[in-house]
Amino acid sequence: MSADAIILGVTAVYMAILLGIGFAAGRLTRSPEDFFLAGRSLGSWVTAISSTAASESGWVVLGAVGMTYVNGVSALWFAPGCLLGYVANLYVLAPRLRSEAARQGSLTLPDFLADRFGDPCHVIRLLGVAVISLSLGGYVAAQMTATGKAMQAILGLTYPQGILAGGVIIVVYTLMGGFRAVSWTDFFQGTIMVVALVVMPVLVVAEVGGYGAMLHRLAAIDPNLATVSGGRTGFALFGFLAGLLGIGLGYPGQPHVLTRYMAASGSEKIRQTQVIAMVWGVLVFFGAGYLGLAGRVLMPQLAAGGGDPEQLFPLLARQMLHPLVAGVMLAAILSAIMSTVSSQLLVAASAVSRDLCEKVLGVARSGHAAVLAGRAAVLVLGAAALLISLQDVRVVFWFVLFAWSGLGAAFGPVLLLSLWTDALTRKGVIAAMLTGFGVTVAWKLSGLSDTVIYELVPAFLLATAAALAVSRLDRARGRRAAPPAAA
Amino acid sequence: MPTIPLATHVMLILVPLVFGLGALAHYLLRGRRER
Repeated sequence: MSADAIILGVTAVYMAILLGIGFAAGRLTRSPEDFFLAGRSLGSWVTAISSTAASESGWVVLGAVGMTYVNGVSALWFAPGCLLGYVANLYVLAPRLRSEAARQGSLTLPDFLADRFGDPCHVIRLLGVAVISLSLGGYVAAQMTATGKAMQAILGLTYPQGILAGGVIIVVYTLMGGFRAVSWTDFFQGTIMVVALVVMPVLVVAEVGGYGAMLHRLAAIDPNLATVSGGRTGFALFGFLAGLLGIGLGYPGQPHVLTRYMAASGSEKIRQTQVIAMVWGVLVFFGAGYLGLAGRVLMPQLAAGGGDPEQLFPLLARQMLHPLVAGVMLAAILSAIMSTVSSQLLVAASAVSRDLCEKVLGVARSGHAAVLAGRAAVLVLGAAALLISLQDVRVVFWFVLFAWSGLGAAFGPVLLLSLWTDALTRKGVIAAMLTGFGVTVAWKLSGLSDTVIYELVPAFLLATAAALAVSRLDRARGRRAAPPAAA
Repeated sequence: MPTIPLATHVMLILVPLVFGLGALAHYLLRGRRER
């Protein structure tokens, strides 16, 4: 049997497992709480690994590996940046978000903010839906495109065949099992990712002679590849570090990740989730980094224009491993992409069906109708994303540029402040969401992201300032409007 | 043979250990406190 046929077989088994999970989860899905939050029943392993798999897209197995290949050790600053984001999510947000969301009965992130601050005119909810739809709508389409390209590269399918094969399976299992299917499949996919990003780097580092030899051979190629500054000094170094460490600021605002904590079955599960997710993050981020470094030594020709450094992982897997094992490694790439798409698709669909249709427009209020509306939203948004990817509608991908930063700056400061202080008012929340998303877009469009600093850093800081300043003004005005009662 | 700066070893070995073992220590210590 040829290597391609074996890899195709492994991928087919992988896809069949995803559909099986979707079918099994669908049988357990009866109420809106089941469809949007898995009935708040997730255990610690599923909460931990599904949340981390959802947050890390194909970027970690392709982009981060390629970035470390090109820039050397200095590119690894992304790892502490992301892990600090994990710390903020897991230790600062998750415990309180889970308990408060359960107490309020909130099912989505806009739901949580609207319930917490009172939202009679639906301004917070509509803003939340707008930010989620603009950011995740394009993101889902872009990730569908990535799915198609990965299927094309791994299985030799045509691009439309790749999109249809990968995209249809994602839509089907998300539609059948909702949040439970997405969480279970993400757990399965996150497990494959961590295994791949431990096994591959160990093999490749051993192949180049071990840790010490890898660093010395890197330094022999270019001494800057083996330093943490990469030869940068002054403002260039500051901008580089702020950009990579600043990625972490986006984590506390990603709805497709935060809803996983809301779905944990109890507070004690969050404590176990913390350690599992942190260890997963360390293994995956540093695994990707080590793979990029050792790959630079093993395949230096990619740097000289002999290929795409972002394809290092699949190239090494095919070259070094038995096709059966290579198939599993390549499934890790599909896993990284598909776990993010399904999570984002479900969150975008829940924003439309739960927040917009049910809460704002007042339709599909009964349990059965709400689940039906959720499934319809997944189908419509999923089909739209598939069509956009097939037609390659470029304007949609424009929104992807703002997705991570826009969500991080619009939701992150508001959630952190609302869970840890009493400082915020409804108007402060609205001001922060508008400022966070607005500054992200303006900063990016002005080109300052490339010349000064990554847009999320100023957007996050200004949104925090806007939240506090407007809330304070709002409170002061409230006190003036209501004179103290007579003694 | 070029010398590898200490900061490189810190980044590649110490930073992952700090995050991983820090999370484990937090889990064990908090568990003991709660018991």
